[in-house]
Amino acid sequence: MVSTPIRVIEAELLEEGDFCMDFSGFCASFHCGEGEAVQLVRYGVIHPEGSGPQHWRFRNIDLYRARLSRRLSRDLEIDLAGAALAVDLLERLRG
Amino acid sequence: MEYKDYYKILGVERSADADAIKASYRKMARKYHPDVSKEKDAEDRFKDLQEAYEVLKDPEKRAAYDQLGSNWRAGQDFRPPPGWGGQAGGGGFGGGADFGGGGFSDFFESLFRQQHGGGGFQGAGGGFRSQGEDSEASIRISLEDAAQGAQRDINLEVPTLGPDGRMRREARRLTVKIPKGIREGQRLRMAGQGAPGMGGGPHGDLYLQVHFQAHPQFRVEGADLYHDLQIAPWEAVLGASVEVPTLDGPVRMKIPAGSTSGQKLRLSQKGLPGAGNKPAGDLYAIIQVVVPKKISEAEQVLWKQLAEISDFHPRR
Repeated sequence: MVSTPIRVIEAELLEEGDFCMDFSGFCASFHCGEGEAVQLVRYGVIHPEGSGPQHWRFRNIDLYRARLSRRLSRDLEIDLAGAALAVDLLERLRG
Repeated sequence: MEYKDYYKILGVERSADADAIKASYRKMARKYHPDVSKEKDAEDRFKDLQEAYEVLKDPEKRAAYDQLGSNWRAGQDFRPPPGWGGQAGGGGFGGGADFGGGGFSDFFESLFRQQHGGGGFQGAGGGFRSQGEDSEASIRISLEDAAQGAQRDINLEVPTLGPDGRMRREARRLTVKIPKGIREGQRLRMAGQGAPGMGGGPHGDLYLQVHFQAHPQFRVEGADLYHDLQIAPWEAVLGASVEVPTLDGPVRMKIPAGSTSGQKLRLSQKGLPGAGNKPAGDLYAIIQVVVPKKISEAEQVLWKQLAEISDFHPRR
């Protein structure tokens, strides 16, 4: 009998992750346009390192926060400023 | 299938206007949103809310739903009336695409299937493609696992796309590699392990929040460990070399003469190891001077002698 090999999932640590994504990589991962990503930075939902889109570097936690903000905006019908506040507060509660 | 009372779910009267429906949805969505709520059944409640709002916010869908009449009770066995179909007409895909991996109920599908292009999400809207929702779960690990890294099996109920194109929940077992040096409350991201996407879109991610099991010997604060170290009065007064447990096994630690309860002694870098290049935490031994509950006659004599010759007055 051939046993099914166990698939081990590699996990990345969200909070301690490196700044591993550039601007286009973030947009591709988040499935958004550049304008939407810039707005997320402006409203403080995400916090890339570097000055200006060309030099921005994002961490996995930014992707998490962006997706959380998208869900909250969509499901609670709140604007980006409200979503940014909610994301911060939720993360603080978790911390 | 069961009849769903969308008005009851949203907590509004059947006569409620659009503003009242919107306000009630927003209020209840805040309460039951899975990212916000601590309620046990939040996910199911939120799905019901979304489904109810999807119908009642749309005048055409609401009118079609209202045609069923007001005599139905929530949970009552339901079959669409003969000849039912397409009454709702028009409208868009709306909340269906936003649904977060759970899908609408059979009740909704039986009433509004035609809007969805023949049932199920895959058939909806040619070319529509979206990423699956992220999922969250938690895992409880030992301090030893956190210190050394570990592989752990987790059982999850995850949304998957059935052969009919509709979402359903399925039990899944994953083996996850936990990196060394993880801290209480930190999250692990497992790319592509969340809910499947729509129309061939990529899977969402799975986020696993890590919690520590209570440890019989250590309390944890960040990367630092705290251990209550009980010592005898003579060890406190005279100083001693005592054994202290660490995650790597016991070590000997020197207790300085004149130590007292509550004092903290630090064992550098004997806490949790750092993740990546971060330094390890420290282990603090908190001294607790304890006295024997029962003593022999000989001991009693010696304690009395000590009391007589000592000029130590703790309350002076």
